[in-house]
Amino acid sequence: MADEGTTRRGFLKTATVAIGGAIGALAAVPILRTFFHPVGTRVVTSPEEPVDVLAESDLVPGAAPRRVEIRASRLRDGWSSQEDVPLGAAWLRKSDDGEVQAFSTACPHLGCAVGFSAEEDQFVCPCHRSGFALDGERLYGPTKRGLDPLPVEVEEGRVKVTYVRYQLDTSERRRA
Amino acid sequence: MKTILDWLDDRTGYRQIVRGFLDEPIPGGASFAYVFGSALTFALVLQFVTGIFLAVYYSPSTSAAWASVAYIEDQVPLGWFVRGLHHHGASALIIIAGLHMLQTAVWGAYKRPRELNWIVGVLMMALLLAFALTGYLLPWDQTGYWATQVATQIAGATPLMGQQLQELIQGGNEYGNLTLTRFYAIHVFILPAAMIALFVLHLYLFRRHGVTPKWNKSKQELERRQEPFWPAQLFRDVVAMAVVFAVLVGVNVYSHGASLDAPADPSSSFDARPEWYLRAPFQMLQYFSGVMEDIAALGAPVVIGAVLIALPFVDRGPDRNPRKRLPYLGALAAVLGVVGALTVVSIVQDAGDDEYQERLAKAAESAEEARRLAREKGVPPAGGTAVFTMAEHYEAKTLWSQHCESCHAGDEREAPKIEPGYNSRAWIADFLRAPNDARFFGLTDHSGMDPVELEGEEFDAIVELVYAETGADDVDEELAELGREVFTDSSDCWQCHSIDGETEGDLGPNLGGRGTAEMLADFIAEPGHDLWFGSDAEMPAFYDTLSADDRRHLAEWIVHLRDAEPE
Repeated sequence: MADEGTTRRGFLKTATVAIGGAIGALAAVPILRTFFHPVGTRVVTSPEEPVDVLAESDLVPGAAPRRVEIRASRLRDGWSSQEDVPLGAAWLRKSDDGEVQAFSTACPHLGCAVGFSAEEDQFVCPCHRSGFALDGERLYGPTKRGLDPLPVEVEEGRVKVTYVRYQLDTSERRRA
Repeated sequence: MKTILDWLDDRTGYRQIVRGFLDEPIPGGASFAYVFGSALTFALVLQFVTGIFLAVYYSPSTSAAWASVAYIEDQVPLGWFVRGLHHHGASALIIIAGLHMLQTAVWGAYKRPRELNWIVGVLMMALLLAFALTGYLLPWDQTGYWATQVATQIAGATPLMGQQLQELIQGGNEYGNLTLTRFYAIHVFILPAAMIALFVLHLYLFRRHGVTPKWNKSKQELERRQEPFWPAQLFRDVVAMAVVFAVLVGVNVYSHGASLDAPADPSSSFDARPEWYLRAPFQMLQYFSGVMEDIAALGAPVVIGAVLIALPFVDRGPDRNPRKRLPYLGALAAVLGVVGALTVVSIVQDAGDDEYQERLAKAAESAEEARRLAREKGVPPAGGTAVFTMAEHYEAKTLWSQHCESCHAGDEREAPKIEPGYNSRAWIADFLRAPNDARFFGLTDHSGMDPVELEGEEFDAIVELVYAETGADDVDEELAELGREVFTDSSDCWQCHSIDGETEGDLGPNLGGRGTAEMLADFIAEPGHDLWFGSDAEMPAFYDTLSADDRRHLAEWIVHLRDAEPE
């Protein structure tokens, strides 16, 4: 009799844990699926297109770089859809041979906004003191690579820049 | 492993606590009669968990609330399922809590010494309804918005401090952002905190007095068959939880989650309906008017609450046998009966109301359109109803109704009818056969064109030629080329019309590019241009009235009509 009682209690214990565990596991599936939705999903998107930022004549060879805002014509952000939204900024300059260059202001180290020091005639990140030459090359500091160039084109006297986001803190340049 | 647990027990003494929970003696032995509390606990935990994960996506503001819920429903994988569990879970809680209370009443379990625990239970039921009421508004859709208005309006009828109370609840003079942040904070912080506190108290009082066995068991019998909570009772509890969960999942899948109406629109008219468990007070209001309405709306919940709380103090005899407590149970049954009857009447009334069903179907259509637009195009920053402005050709349709419709549509129009199929092959063929029909130039002074009398392939070729000018991408080039020959060689068309888009049309409009977006935009700007109607033009120029963008929107919409299905 004692044996029978023990078996019954043992069965009840196993069954209780099994049923309880099954409920928890089944409930966890949809809940975790929703929670992990943003992983690997492009939740924020904007058309990758050249954005008109200024007139070519505003850039003078040898002059200090100009900082320009780059705005998306449309930004899908989760549920919302907005027009004319700032995406980021770029430093624009014209080299001595007349070529227009654009660099993302996002520091390739950890993403702070890189500034321009007129005194030192170079780009300097205010966060961790990385320095970059006028052509974007890395000079000093913790950054592993130079400033990220952005695709730039000149069309009918207007400078157009395409904004691109890169992965940070890598020596190779990979799209984010 | 054992060493770690030993260490943990040494430092915390957890084993004693766990044993205390598991070894709780159940007089008379485990029974499925005792599963309701555990089933409720399970449903409550499920609400907490699903609620927390919904909060991961939900955004409480008038501009984002609906959009974020639509995002959960239609874009987060299984988001609809989690939201559906939360929605139906609320119903499950109300049902199980109702059964729990009913059992407590029938078994006389609220009698001394358990009066206080009964009161705590009644308060927890009130909290559940407060949860339901606040949660209903959060999606900021039509149903939630309009139904909740009714509830806060009732609060506003409270004597002496009605207005203040209403403003306190809804966060100001009107529904808006502050209403949502307030309802959200109440729903996710204040009510859960209160619920947890009452839950702990309920459990503590329950453990202090133990389960209430059935009234007809002798003391010896109860002692003889007594067994611990674990595992026999917990097994039954877990089985009950599994049943609750299975039913919830089943209902959720069957109904494809919870509904989400179109975004709240204060300018619309909408038939507000509460959740089924609040149908009774909703229906009750139909039978009262004026001051009586306020008295009934505010009084009924207070009276029912007071009666429930008073029950253990009125029904105080020591005998728990329901047969000997018929007056009390009868009163309770009567209240339940009235509530049930009102609920059924309300639902039956709606089901038989064809006009209501029609409005319901319309609302469902509108909801579907809003959700499609939100899914495909996103919701503009203004949020809510602004989602409708994302509809294809929205600007054009607005401009159309302001500037074009009065002449180009309806029975009182004065100009050619513009409708789906405009400039399609069939439309062109009809036009060429009868240009002076009322559908075309019949209502205008531009009635000098003779019907085209070509037959067979020659007619088809002319149609194709005109059709080709619209820039459609399914043009039969060979046939159109034949049409060009017919145009100049074997018909009179050329005598009035050019088709190069350059030569001024002295007698009839130049047909070059006719029906393309570019031509239509230019035409809307200046129908009296020498290419078209010249100084004879009856249609006003919209050069000043409409911007170039507006004209372009309209033109693109008219192009779109060519292949559109008639509405």
